[in-house]
Amino acid sequence: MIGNRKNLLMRGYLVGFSLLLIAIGVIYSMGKIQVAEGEQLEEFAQQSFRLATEPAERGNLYASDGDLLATTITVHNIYLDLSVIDDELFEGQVRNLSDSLSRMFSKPSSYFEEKLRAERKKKNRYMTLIKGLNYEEYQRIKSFPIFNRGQNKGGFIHETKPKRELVLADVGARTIGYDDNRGKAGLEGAYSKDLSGTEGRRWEQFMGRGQWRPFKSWEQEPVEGSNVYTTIDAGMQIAAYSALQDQLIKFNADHGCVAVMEVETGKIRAIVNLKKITDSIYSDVLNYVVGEGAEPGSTFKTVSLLAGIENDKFTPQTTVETGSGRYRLYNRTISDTHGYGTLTVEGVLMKSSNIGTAKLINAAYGSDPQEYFDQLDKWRLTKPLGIDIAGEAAPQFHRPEDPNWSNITLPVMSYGYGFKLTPLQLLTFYNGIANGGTMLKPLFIDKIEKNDGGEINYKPQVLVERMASPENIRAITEMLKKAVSDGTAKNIFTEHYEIAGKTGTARVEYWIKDQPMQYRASFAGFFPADNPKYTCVVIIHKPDRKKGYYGGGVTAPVFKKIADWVYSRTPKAAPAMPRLVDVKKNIQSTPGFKANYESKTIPNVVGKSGESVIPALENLGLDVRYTGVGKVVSQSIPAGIQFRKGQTIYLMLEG
Amino acid sequence: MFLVFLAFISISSSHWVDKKVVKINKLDEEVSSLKAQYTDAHRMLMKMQLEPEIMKQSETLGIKLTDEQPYVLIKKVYDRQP
Repeated sequence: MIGNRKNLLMRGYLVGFSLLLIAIGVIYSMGKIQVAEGEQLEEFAQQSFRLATEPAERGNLYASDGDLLATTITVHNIYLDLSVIDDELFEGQVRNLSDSLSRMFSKPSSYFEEKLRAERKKKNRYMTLIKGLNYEEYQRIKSFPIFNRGQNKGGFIHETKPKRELVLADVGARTIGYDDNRGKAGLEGAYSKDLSGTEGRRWEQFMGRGQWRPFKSWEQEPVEGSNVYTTIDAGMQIAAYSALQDQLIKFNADHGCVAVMEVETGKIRAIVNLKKITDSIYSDVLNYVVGEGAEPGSTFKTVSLLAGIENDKFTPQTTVETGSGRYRLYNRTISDTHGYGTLTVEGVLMKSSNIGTAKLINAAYGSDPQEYFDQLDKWRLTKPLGIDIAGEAAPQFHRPEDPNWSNITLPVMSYGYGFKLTPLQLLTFYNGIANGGTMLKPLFIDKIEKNDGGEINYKPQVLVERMASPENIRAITEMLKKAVSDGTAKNIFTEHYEIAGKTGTARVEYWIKDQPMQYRASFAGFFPADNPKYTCVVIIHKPDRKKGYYGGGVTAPVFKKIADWVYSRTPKAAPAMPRLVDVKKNIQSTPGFKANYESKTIPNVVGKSGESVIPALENLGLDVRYTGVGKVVSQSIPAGIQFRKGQTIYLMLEG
Repeated sequence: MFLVFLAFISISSSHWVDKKVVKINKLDEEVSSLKAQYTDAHRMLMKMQLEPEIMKQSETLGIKLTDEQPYVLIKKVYDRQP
């Protein structure tokens, strides 16, 4: 018994000892893992965590009426892993697959078959088949033979990529702009912060089979980008684009631009820039409206003459002698297209006389050019407008205090040479006139619609409260109207609505010798002149001089086309409608008529209701003809006269 | 026994979470695919409803745009300026 017990105790110790050994082993291993392999393992553990980012969806860019201008679409790229397709499948189906591909991409079937076989021989595991498919095309290609076996058996590799797509394609492309590896441009660039939203961030843990699970809650929640509504009117934009494009092609010009501004709000409704890429192919690649400072030429005469009138230097009726069309001032010869003789200020603008403008302005401001500049400063013409789109060209002027200033600088400036101004600035000035003297800042954005439903609305901003007195604004508007009705832009005159505007034909690159003179045609104006709705500036740079280069012939028609587009879409009050007759009331209020069937004479039916008269007379045997409705106003056979059966009586009813 | 029960619950719930995560990921993928389909369709609709596109289609039917000014037939309350 005792031996047995001793035996038992021994076994107990043995078990206990071995447990102790195991425990020591465990502790040793723990120590080893912690101390010796610790760093390595920690690194390994780190690998199963990641800081995942969730891209925020970029907002859309809309036209003011809700037409989509730019959006982010997903493009589908298809690659092939040709090594995983087994021989039986490949040989059996490669012909069918090639046929399907050939039908989809309209290339011969043999082209695809040869390519697939060649790449398969090379054991290509990542052959680029096609890029940039849309969703529908992707669904279609996915169902093709071999491809419908998926990635592991059919070698079909599908990758997606977000892509910014301009719905109107090239129309307004540069103004809409971009925000990508090319940099920031246009509205996409200007409102990049609002459009792009905020990327989400959180830690995730690896859980096998290519899956990750969220480990903690969001460190940064993803916030989708806001939608930006521009002031662009998609319809007008397209109309302006095609009008300008047609004219550029017609005159084989280097480049051109159009901008349309809504008078009351300063909203830019259309903005088109086109540059010649090759013959008769034009593309919107540079924002000339905003970024091209150039000598404006004659369209600037409006500025000079309004300044003179406003500063009481002359009146629209003041006369000036322009002579035979050549005039020597200081040591420069200023010339006009024709000799206009004596002109009023109004005539100077109408005929666009350089001599007249130069003489008037030189007489008015020659002794104190600073006064002229004070007026330009007041009109904000000498500073950039400060719009949101990047790349605005700053105006460049020679000032009286500059060393290269001379006596001739001011007169030449007065008709638009020797300084630089952007088309947008000219547009803003003309719009100020159209708006009764209140100059508004060009507005490109209607509102920003935030993801949480909030909205930021953009309001028109006044740059100059009062450019000139109402009388002077009216006077210059009259002059601009006459420039279209009887002046240099007579060709676009229309009876339907009044246009006020000024042509310009500026010489460009006149400093390059041994080159025939090049021109820059322009037109600035607004319509309808009596109650202006839109202001528009058109520039066409270097038209083919053999085909024409005057502002009236080259640029004004573009303006006209846009104005016509607006006109045909602006409803007018309906003409007076025929007076409506309340038939029910008439019938109820008008006394009925009962015929005396014994009588052989015509009864008096005037003032009775037609409804009762007509059947009664017919029952008497008369042939009744009538016009109108309601009460009888007159009868062709007077009452009391004898009638025969079948005789015709005409009745005129009230309505 | 209680501890075993707790361990059982803990393990099964963690598996359950994993399954959920897989499901969520799958749904996420589906959502983004549907979104892509929507934007594609939306873009095409927007393109089609532009005036020149409509005119291209309607010209085959012999319908052309007028150059005349239209008339206001019905004056709606919201047409009035405030």
